[in-house]
Amino acid sequence: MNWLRKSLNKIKHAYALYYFVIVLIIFLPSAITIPSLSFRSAIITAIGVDKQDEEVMVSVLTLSEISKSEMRENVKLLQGSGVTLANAFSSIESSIGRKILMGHVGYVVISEDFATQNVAEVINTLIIAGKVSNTVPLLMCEGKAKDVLDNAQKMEASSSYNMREMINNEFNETYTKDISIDSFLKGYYSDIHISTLGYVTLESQPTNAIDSSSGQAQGGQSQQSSSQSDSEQKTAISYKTEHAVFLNGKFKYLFTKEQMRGINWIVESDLQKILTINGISEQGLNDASITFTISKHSVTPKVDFLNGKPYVTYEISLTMTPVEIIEANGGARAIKEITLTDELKQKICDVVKREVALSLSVMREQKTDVIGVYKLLYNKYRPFMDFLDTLQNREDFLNYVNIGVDVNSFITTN
Amino acid sequence: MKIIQQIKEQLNNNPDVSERQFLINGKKVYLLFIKSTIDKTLLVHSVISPLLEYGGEPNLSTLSNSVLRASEVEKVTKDQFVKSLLRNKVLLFVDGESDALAIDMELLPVRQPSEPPTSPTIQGPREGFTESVKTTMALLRKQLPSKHLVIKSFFVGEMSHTQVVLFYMDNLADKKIVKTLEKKIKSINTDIVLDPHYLVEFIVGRPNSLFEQYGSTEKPDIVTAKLMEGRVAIAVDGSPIVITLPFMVFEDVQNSNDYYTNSHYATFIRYVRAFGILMATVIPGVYLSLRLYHYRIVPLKYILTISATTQNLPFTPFLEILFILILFQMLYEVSLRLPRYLGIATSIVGALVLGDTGVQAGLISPPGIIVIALSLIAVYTVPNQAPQLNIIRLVFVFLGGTLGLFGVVGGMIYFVNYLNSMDEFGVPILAPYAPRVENDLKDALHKKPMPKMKKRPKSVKSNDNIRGLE
Amino acid sequence: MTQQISVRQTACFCAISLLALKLITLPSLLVIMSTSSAIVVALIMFALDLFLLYIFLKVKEKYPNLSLYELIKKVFGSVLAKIIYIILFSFYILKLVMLNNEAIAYMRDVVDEDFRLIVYLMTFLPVVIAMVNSGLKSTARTIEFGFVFIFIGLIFCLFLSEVTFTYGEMGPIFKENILNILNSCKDVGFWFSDFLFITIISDKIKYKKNMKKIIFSYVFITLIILIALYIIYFRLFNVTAFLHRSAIADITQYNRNIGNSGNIDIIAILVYMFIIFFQGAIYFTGAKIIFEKIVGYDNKIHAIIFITLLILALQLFVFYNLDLIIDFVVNYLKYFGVVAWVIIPLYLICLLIFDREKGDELVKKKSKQN
Repeated sequence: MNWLRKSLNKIKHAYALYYFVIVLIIFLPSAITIPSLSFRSAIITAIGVDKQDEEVMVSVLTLSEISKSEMRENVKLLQGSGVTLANAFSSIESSIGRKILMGHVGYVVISEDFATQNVAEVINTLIIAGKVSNTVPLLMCEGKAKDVLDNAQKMEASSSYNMREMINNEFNETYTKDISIDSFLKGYYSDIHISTLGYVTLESQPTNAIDSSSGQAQGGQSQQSSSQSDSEQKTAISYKTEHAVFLNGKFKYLFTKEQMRGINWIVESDLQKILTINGISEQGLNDASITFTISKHSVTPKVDFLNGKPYVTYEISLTMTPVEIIEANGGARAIKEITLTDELKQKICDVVKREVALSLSVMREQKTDVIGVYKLLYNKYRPFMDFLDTLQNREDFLNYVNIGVDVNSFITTN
Repeated sequence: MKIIQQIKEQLNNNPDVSERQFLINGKKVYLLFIKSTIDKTLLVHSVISPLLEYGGEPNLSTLSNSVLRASEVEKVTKDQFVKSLLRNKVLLFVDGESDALAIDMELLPVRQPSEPPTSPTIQGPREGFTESVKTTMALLRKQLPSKHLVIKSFFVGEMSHTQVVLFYMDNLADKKIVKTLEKKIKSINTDIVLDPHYLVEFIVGRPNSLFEQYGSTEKPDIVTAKLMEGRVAIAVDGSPIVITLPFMVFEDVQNSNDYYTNSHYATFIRYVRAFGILMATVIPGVYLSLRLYHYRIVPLKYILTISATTQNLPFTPFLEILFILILFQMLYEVSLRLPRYLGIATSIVGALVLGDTGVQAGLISPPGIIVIALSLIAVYTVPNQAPQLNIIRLVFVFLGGTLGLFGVVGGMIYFVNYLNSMDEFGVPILAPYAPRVENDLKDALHKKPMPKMKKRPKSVKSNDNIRGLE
Repeated sequence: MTQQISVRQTACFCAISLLALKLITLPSLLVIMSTSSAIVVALIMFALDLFLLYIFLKVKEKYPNLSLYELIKKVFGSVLAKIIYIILFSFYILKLVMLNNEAIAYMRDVVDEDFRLIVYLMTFLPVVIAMVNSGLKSTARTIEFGFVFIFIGLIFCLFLSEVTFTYGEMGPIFKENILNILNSCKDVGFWFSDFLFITIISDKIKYKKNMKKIIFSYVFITLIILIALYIIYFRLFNVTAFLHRSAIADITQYNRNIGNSGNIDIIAILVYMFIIFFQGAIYFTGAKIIFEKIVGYDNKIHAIIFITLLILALQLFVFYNLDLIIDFVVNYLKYFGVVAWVIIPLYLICLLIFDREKGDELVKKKSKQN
């Protein structure tokens, strides 16, 4: 017992050191032999989800081994399929013999085929099990998500352009609404279950039109320079500010670029940069078109209830600078001569109202509140609930809300 | 004289023990001394010449009071003969008298005060202590010509009888601390003391601790400043290092240069040093944990860069870091011990081998080298803590490699808590930050101008808190 | 080293206690229970906590050298005091287990998907035990030392997320009726009432005249940051809160602009890791002090061993999952919350109002009897 007492005394005075030794004994053998995480796992930078027969097909872009001299990203496209998303990922892991890590996913693409089923369950799996960040952009594509990823991979392999960076940098310039996973889920779990995703297509282009060093234009196209022969068609990923509208997690319809213009006026976005007014025959002009650039665009929604009916008015304030005047005969006029007359103001107001009306008609027809009228009215909770109680079908509420637009425009010459 | 023979035998008949005999007025007078440790010119001038000129009856009292021209003469008894001789005194015997006179004629080889290599100053005093404790006393007296300066001398070490000197200001230092230190020094039971570091392990409460519980310096201006804060200084004959107690860790983040330059710059550079401590200890462990376990925290571009430079290495990250660490430590040790001209060559070879060839051969990676090199450089922002920081760095490498970032954070908290449990002489070692002492923050990491530092640090218990008027 | 801690250190304890269990699961739970009235529930509970803190500090002023045990024993004897303390002991043990589970969930969400329980326990327990073993004073100094970093880190976390504060997006905050709100308050009571620690260590706090001012200033500033974080969370994740179970992690990661270079939430990670250790030490210390009072003798080692074994048993065999303990706490523990929320405060208020005898006199009486 004496030796035990002596040993315990020794340990008591240096217990931290002994504990440290125990930790080393337990963990050091594995720590010494374990390779770096990037070598024992596959780090995914993009996910594409397609439907193949009755199965889910997942395509992923993973970081691959790259040569030391090149410090840029190199990605490889991998595919796997399974009954569920989890099975599909599992099959990819089996094929490469590495665990998949999704913490650095830059974007997720879903094909239109797949979007006919409830996408929210897929997204939930990615967030909860895969730990994908909720600010990751979520896109829907026209054809196969696999083709989009393939295109992105080729572009990254041949140039320094990176689709992940382009989407993250450009989405404010490309998409009106927030296209992140988080905004999709917020819409899905809201009372009206409406969400929007960004929409991309793959367009075939003749080889002459493609300049491999041109890169990305705003809201335009990303190009690939491929190793294919010049006579072949090249495909490019195109995002044209279109949004896919989802109801209850399923794809319902597509908001085209023209239909989006009305929404761009109401949702205070930076996308509405140009406004062209045609048929101006005043101030010495003869059936001229004036093009303005919009330097400031602010929207103040006003909500009111009159006799139990909701009235929503969007007060749009535009500060514009005229940049081009083209007359019917093709001649140009000096800009400084243009002033904002009542007639011009009215024409601007008419153009905006027309575009807004077009968007509203689509929304009302499809019974989808894309612009967030419900959220606005919800803040006047009691009267709004009373109003909803009067409706036979709550989904139809947009048809019974009076939505108006007031436009105040200002011209600057700076 | 019989006694002289006995003394010589006690000293093993060493060849440097010399004897000189005189016949003065029919009486024999003997001189016994260790010739290698005395000033022979002074001996001739102050002792031998006066003796030879003396015509009267030689006895110890007359010789001591009226004949000898030495500055220090002391009468010693038989039991003190050997001790006095070994303390480099000249013994004078008169036939028929049992006692002797011990005359101070010491002349030992000593260095001139010069700038200490561990504390160079850009602008400011450059004097440093030397191995002679007399020089230490002289330099401190020069800085502090105050009646309150107390100097107490002890002899420690059964064989070495090393002189240990305690300095403090009696109007400032806590008497309890002084008494405790005196008691501990007197109770030291050892054979030899060559340096204050031999002593401190007897004095401090936790001699086994990794962390220092005392300050050390070679500069008189630093010791003076610390004495004026109520601290006690201990010097040992044979070493230029003076230790000061009580100690707070943030003293090592301060430097004498801080007081000879603009206070804003001093504040900035102290924060750099504090950051240096963090970098020196924690960065390699964090780097390792990020590479092994925590890819989510690392931005994608960094993962790419590190992957690109670390692919196809034969070592796992853990082994690579350990390998580089050991190589750099060896290089450092080699450069310390080699003569200057060889050290330069070795440094070049080491740098080339490690920096270039190793990377090109694919044995080690550039990020690993950068991390370890930064860490090693950062250690010397606080040179007094370098040994501790080197060991703590190794601990954090192991913690980061085994337990990840959580282990590194746990280690940091453990070490901070350990420091907080050290209360040497009632002064918390992490003061004035833990516990927070508002007054002392004026000269901790932040440095205020001198006119704003009206009070002495409250963390060090002092009898007079106000600087300035007595 | 005498084991008395300063007022500033007490204030740091209060501030850390305010943060600890409220940064991970609680915001999500509040939204699930009370939807857009979550902020109302949170504000009510914070206000109650502040009121209790005020009572505890008033009690400390009146009885500077008595802890809660002595105060209960004064009127009801040691048996009831021990019963109350047994209930409080179970609180602290469960809070520790909850802290562990939240921490592990957070680590798996943010730091490492394969974060293992054994790594957590082998790091957390020894550090916390070392802190407790070195004494209340050094634990207090450690927390005081680290508090500045936590405070600055939290402010940084506030600005990491991308938020535009447009009024109207939070929805009507009084959507739920008052009964639902009060029910929710009762359900989440376990996550609050952390200032009770002050009464347990009351005899170890150095009395200072302006202690209320110092402690309240620390608590208010921390509370403002916490409420700001809650508002940001409710603003960002209103209907999807149930998917965002690690509030501080999700808030700091919600930033698209940094998406290209990666998350810079390492500051939030480090802040929360510090908070885990500090709060773990506070709970463990509380449990240890309570245990010593219950068994009637001061033996640090026995207390530490017993508490460690109990935590390990609960962590490994009973509450090995965050959902299990949340379920247990919300469904069963709210009834025991009556002790912390009602009985003890009421008793202390009665002592303040009706007891004319001062605490110091009681101590003198005791020493005379001895």
